[in-house]
Amino acid sequence: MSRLRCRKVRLVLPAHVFGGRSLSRRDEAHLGQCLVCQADAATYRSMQTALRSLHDEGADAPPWLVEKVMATLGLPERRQRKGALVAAAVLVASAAVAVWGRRRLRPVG
Amino acid sequence: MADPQVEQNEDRRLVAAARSGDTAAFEELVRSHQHEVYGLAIRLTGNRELAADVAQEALVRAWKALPNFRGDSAFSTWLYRITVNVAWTRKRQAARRSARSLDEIGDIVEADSIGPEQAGEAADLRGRIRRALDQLPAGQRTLVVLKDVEGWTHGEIADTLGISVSAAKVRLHRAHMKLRTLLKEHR
Ligand SMILES: [Zn+2]
Repeated sequence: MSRLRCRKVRLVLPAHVFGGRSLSRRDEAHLGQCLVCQADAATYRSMQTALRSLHDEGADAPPWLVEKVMATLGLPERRQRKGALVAAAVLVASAAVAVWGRRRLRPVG
Repeated sequence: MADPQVEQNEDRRLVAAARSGDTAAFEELVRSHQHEVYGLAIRLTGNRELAADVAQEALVRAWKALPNFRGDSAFSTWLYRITVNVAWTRKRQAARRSARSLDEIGDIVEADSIGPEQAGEAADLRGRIRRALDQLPAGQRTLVVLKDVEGWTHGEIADTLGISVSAAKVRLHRAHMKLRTLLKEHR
């Protein structure tokens, strides 16, 4: 078994197994006879199967995810509401000052 | 909703409503895509806690970017792309911030997700591939997950990560060789 051919075949094996790239006739012939390269190809194939199977392992999102996302979207709104409250408080305060001022200005008697 | 066409139409309707500021419509979208987004995030990061953060940030970003969504692709495809980008950024930040090893992160997922009922050869191989994935550099892991786990095309990967198709192929090739070596070590 040519070591050089082994090295060559092992370089093209991932693309052959994962990408379906066809092997040259000489590489093909080598793979048919070389147990080391066959073992390598088998490793890539089981890798491929295992990787595909990871996709089927469904993981449920944490139960708080939707609420947390929606709460984050609401942040600017809440800030606006807070801003509005502050503005309203300022209005009330100035109105109170105005009333208080007017009262003070009101002539006595 | 099993029919993908019906699902896409429903998404389109909800996206249109959400684009005009309807948060309830967006909440519907979040509800129907949250598990897929989280699943992708967990496969990309290998860590439940980080994946939850990634999913949350991706969904919030999607809301903010919704006005720019032109509907050239399915909403889900667009959302997964955002998820990949967030995961990618977060993993790099995490790698910089802490010295916590990827093996440790892998162990957390392992302990959570493998029960005794899953014993057997296939589960064993999955466990080994997960450990091997955890040891891949983040960039290579992203490529392997998107191509071999999620089934994306080289073109889709290249587009999302902002690299050329040939760069994606070369990096993927390297990742496969590295993964094989790691898998042998975990035997
Ligand atoms: Zn050989």
